[in-house]
Amino acid sequence: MASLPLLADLKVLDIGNSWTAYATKLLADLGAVVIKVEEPSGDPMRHWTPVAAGKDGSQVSLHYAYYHANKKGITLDTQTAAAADILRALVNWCDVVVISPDPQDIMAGGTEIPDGYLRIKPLLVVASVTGFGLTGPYRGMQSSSAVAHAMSGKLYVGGPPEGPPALFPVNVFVDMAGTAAALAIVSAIRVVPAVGGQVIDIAAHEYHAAHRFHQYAGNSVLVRRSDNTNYIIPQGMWQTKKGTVEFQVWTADQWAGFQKLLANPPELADPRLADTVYRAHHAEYLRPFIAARLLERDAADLFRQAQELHIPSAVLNTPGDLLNDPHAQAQQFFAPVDDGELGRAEMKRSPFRSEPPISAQQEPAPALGEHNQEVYVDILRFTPSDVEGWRRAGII
Amino acid sequence: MSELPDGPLTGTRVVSFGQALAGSECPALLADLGAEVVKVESLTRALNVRLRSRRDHPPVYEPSGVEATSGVGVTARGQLAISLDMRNPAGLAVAHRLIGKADVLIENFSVGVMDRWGLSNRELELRYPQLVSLSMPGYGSSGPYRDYVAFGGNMSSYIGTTAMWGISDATQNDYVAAVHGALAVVAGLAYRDKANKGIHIELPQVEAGAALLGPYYLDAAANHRDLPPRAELVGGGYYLDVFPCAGPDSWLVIDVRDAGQWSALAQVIAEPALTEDPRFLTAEARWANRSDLNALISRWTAERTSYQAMTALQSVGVCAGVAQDGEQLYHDPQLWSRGHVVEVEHPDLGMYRYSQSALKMSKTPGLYRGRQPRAGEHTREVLTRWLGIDDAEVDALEREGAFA
Repeated sequence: MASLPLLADLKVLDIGNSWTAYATKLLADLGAVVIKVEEPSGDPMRHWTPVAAGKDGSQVSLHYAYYHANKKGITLDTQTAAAADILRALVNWCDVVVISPDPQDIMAGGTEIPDGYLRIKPLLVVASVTGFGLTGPYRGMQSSSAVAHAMSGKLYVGGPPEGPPALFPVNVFVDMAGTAAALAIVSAIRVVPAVGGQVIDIAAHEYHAAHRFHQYAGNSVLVRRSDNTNYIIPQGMWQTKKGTVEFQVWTADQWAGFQKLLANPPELADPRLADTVYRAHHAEYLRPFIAARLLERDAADLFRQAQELHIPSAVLNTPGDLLNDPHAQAQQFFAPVDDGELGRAEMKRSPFRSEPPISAQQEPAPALGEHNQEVYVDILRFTPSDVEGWRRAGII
Repeated sequence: MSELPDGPLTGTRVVSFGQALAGSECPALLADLGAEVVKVESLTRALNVRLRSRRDHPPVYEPSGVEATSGVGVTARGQLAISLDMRNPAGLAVAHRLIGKADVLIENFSVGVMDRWGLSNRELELRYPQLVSLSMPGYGSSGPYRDYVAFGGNMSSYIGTTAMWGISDATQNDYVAAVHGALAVVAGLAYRDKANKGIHIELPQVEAGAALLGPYYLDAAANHRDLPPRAELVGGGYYLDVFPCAGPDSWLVIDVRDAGQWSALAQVIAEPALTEDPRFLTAEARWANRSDLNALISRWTAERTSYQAMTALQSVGVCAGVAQDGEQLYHDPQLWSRGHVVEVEHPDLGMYRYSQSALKMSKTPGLYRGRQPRAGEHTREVLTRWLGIDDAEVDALEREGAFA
């Protein structure tokens, strides 16, 4: 099928880790050529859970399979002296280098680290994706998706009022920072002819903090979890006879629809309840009343009926439920991919849709060093005997 | 605004019909990058980012009587506001003329609204062949749920986020969709430059959110289960949880990444059992014995403030972070050091502090480029500058009701 790879001419070198994996996946899905550099012992993500049984009986990391699809994989021990020339050749080949320096190295080197790549090639875009950034007093601190979640103020406001706050124990807060990095990268590429190369310094901490900062610093509102629990009733999850349903009722029209969904009970008829703040003050009365009514119903029916009444609503799906959802299936959210190691896999398609499609044919995530020959010999023009020598010396 | 350095999108013109949080934050990111964004708003149906976000405080009104954007109104930052009545033929005609001058069009209406205005994808392609247009419907413009209404929290529930998180977060999916949408626009501009023609990109917001959960759909299909057990959810982590610290409602995340950090944690809190007790040796065992394990760690955290505990752990390389509340976030030295805080004078709301753009670029930085506008504040300016029409014509359009 014909496709429109939007970034077809873009060449990206990913010498990062799980911090950069989603940023470069986005670029690869948009058509860029992405070379993922791994230590000869393999990227740590190859050992992430969950796993599935591979064709040959091995355990395949589903994170690796997802995040590195459509990329070329090479190995290189960047710590060796001999690697410097190889790395120089790779940097000269590409338009973008994506890095995620270790916090300890940032303490020592800071902004010198990306500047080193710019000295090799001044027209380069160097993007760093880290927890706290390349500058500032916290730059040497270890971070992760959960730490970014916590430090940004987002963790504190979610969960039961008595605590603890509810962790979202997956990599999404890193990946959102990675998306911001991809945005900055494609933007920087546009101005290379005008201003030359430059350094991008994305910190997950400040990216997420920006979504909370204004509430206290701007509005002088110190939001607590108890506020969020009762904010905009009936926001949140409700158990039904079968399954869980969730609503977002903000406007007066939506509240009128919600009353109708519950068969217009006189207990909700007070017109003052159309005001969200008034409802919040009557949470102790409203929540048990609504919970009892919804417990007699069925989540899937409520979802359909609520939508007929234009109430923003959804059923609570697990990832497994979504695979079987009629809309997800009709829209082909998932593309069956023949993954080399995994066999047939249900790969979430790129979310960008166009006619003809933007995303190129899905290629499975590379096996360790799968593209060494293609990259080092065919693209960079090293000789096969060079490559064989590096292999024997353990450099690749 | 003029004294700020150019962004990478300076010179790019965007018309945004973006609604609500995702539809407002997406063009705001482009404005941070220097694009000139015209935000089209109807005065009779004001955007819901104007909904009261001070909770119990009295609302603040602009001189026009429209409620001033405060809270999530920050997502209107850097944008020029124009009020158009799209049901009025004169208002609709102005919208078409603006789109004719734009590089980018953004909308996230319910499916069908743009068609009614003569702005269907087919018509856009025919009339504005150089336009990069982005639609961000909730579920997509086709499929059984195409007409379903959805806010961010609903979309999180639909794709599996809520089930995995355990809470219904109202805005998570909005921010995910917004930044993916901005990326789609800039990638679309790159395509237009090469192909010399525009492109229409659709980004269903549920699919943006689902793109961050890819491994878990693979898991559900391959391992025939709804969700991996908690021990397997954490990907590359060794052990992760939230621990109580000294003081009211004070919490620390400890996210041990590997065996080395686990040993360091055991040493710092003087609990050799962490590395010696068979109950804590494997990920499955640690999760099965979570309450015993957490009791050991909490004994140490509870005697320290969250910052003392974080500092002690980070000093030996253990990944940990405080669950900062709004006030702590405001005093965060890392944010201040990196120039995060922007002071803004708003004519109706007074002095505010907002966040600097996190899109830090050494030559063409993302920047907070201006406060949220009053409704219709820039109508005359935009019409004059983009369309080259004079005051008399603007007055005539006003009399025809174009700007209601």
